[in-house]
Amino acid sequence: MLAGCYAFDPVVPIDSRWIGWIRAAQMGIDFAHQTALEDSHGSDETALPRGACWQFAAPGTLDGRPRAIHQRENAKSGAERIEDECIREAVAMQERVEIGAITDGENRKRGWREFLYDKCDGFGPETVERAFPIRLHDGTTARREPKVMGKLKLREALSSNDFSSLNTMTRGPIKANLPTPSVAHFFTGDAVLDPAVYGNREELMDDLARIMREEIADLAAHGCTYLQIDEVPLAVICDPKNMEVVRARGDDPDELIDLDRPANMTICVHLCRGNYAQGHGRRWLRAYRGADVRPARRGRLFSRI
Amino acid sequence: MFDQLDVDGYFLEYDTPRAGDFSPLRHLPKPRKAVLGLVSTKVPEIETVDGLKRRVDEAAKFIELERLCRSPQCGFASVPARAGRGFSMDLTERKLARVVEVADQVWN
Repeated sequence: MLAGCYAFDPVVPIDSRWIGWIRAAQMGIDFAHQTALEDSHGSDETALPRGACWQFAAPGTLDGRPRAIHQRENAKSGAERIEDECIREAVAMQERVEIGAITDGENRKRGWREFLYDKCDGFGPETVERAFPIRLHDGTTARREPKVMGKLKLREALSSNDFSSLNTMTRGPIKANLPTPSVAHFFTGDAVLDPAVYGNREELMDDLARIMREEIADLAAHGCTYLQIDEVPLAVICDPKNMEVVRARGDDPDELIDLDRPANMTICVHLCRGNYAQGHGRRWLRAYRGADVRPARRGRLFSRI
Repeated sequence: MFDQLDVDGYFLEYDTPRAGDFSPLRHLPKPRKAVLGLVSTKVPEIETVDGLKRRVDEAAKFIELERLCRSPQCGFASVPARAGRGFSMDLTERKLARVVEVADQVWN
């Protein structure tokens, strides 16, 4: 299916969000609730870029901030209109360049993995420090991840509702995206665990793998035939310096990813090496050959979907 | 590693020397495909058509052209510290258009 065609990674059109914000103002949407929300936890490490319209889309927050679903309800219809506007713009752009695989520009998501935390009960409100801080497009740096404080349970579909919505806006083939379960553990290690909830990381990965399997089946049921799974830890771990980071916290950089997937769905893995260029000079793909990366410990650290 | 995952294709970031050379692609088992992320989503300059086609030619020494695909390198939202803030919508469009332009020339 992919041969000779174009496929591309999730596009997050920054401008469209700002445009959406401006349009929302023109539409007379009341931002009072959102502004109050931002002011109440004004942190320079906020994971939510200020003034971006998809702030409205995020039903949960990080960094110990309270979930604010009720605070956003008043703006919900407006938020959805803004998202729709941004997505139509992103779709029009992609159709204009004839890229061949359409995404919604991730406009309904807070981030490529954060939407997992937002749509799944059990994450937060406590947070733990990341071994790998990540710089966000608005210039802020995310240094903390939500701790897993309860058994994971989806409040809503991770991606299939977004797929269905996008399906009404384009005739083009749609690419859906999901993060690997490993993202909920790798960046922090076992510190993310509450022993009273998940006794070890295998239990956490088992639960997340089940959630992802169900989501993939749900996507297929909604008609999705093309899925990209964003696997960052696997590429990050191929850098010897990053291996040292995880070894220092007592982990072993072995890995395996297993996939159960519908027979008619094309699945690709984006081996994203992350934005950790500075200080990590090794060539990541070359490093694979010397990294002794073997599936010795099934799913011990990395994902099994 | 490439044969351990039950997937159809790999999106691989090949935009800078940091990515290394294309020789590991010879280990990619059939029928899996490699999607070459040659157009950077972190550096604002638009890559040249000739430069990109040369890179595809280099990759094709190690894997059949039919199993290669093109894409941007990564998402357009996340940026390393040196790159400042994210791309504009206009730059994103021009980057994507360049991906399509080269793909049309290489595979059509």
